[in-house]
Amino acid sequence: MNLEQELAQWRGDWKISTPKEDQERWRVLEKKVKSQSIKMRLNLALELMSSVSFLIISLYVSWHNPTPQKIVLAVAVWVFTFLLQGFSIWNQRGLWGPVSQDNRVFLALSLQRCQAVLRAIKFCLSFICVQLVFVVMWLSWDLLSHPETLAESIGDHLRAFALGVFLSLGFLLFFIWLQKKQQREIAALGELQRSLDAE
Amino acid sequence: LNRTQLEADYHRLLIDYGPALSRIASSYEGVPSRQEELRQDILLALWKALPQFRGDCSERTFLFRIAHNRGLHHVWRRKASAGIQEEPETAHELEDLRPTPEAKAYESQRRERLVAAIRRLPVSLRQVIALTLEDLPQSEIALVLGISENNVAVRLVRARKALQEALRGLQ
Repeated sequence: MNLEQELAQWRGDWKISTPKEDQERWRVLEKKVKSQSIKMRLNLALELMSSVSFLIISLYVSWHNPTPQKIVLAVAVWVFTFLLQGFSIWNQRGLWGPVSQDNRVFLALSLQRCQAVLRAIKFCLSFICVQLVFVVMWLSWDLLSHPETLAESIGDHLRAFALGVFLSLGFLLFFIWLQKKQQREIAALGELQRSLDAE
Repeated sequence: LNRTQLEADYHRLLIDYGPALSRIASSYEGVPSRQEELRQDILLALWKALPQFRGDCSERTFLFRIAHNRGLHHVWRRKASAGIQEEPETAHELEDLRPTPEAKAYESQRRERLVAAIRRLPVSLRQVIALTLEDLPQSEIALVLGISENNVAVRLVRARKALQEALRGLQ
């Protein structure tokens, strides 16, 4: 059998029709994809709404009860939110091109995306530390600025502090796990890139 | 493109290229449940990319680029999450290739054997042979993979030899 015949035979085997049930499966997949796409948009909208809600609530609270503590808290919420969003936009610049580039460009872009996630993790870890320091300082300030109600409010403040530490620890563990996962992905991606380049 | 037009185009692409996408997915993944996930991933990527299609390459090139990009994504994510080798088939998958008591159709078995052998090839050779079997000329394969036509030709020669050996190994 010559090379052309061999290729023709493989081509014939490769294209042997898939079962009829496949048609139905494609329809189901098509529906799944559309609902998944809607879910992704909803998630994005929810994220945006939660950020905006935080901003509005902080503004509302400081507007109706304009103590120095509430004003500082509102300013901090705005600064932290814009800092986070600003970093996110800067970090992802040029990385969300179309997914239809050729393999080589796609792999290079994927590596850059993984590295951007690693940068984001490092930023978030520092961000959590800054936020925790701010929370501790703000709670202490708020507590000490009302010495007359110190005994009554110390419990609430301690609970808020514990919640802050608990959430920070949760995020810390999550980011450490994500960092390891991302490093494994970068290693696998690099290996794949090298194996493709070797040919 | 408006939404209705987009949905119509998407549906047409699935009818025209659905079986080809299925075959591409099967060249990257042998386990049926994960193959299904990969197909879904390809379709989602296609759905997201379609509004950006400006006709700067053929529809087929556009589609195969997306499919192979998602296939590569699948390969490195699997390696990263499980630390597994990409090539070897599991014992279970190989078992499926033997004639079963229910006697699967002869043609279907031949196809399964060929796909299993293709999955044993290194990714770079696997991509070239899969695209060749989809009737893409070397110039178009080069566009999909982002390599030169000469490189495609060299890979194809290696892929054929490797595939012959892999098929012999599955006898």
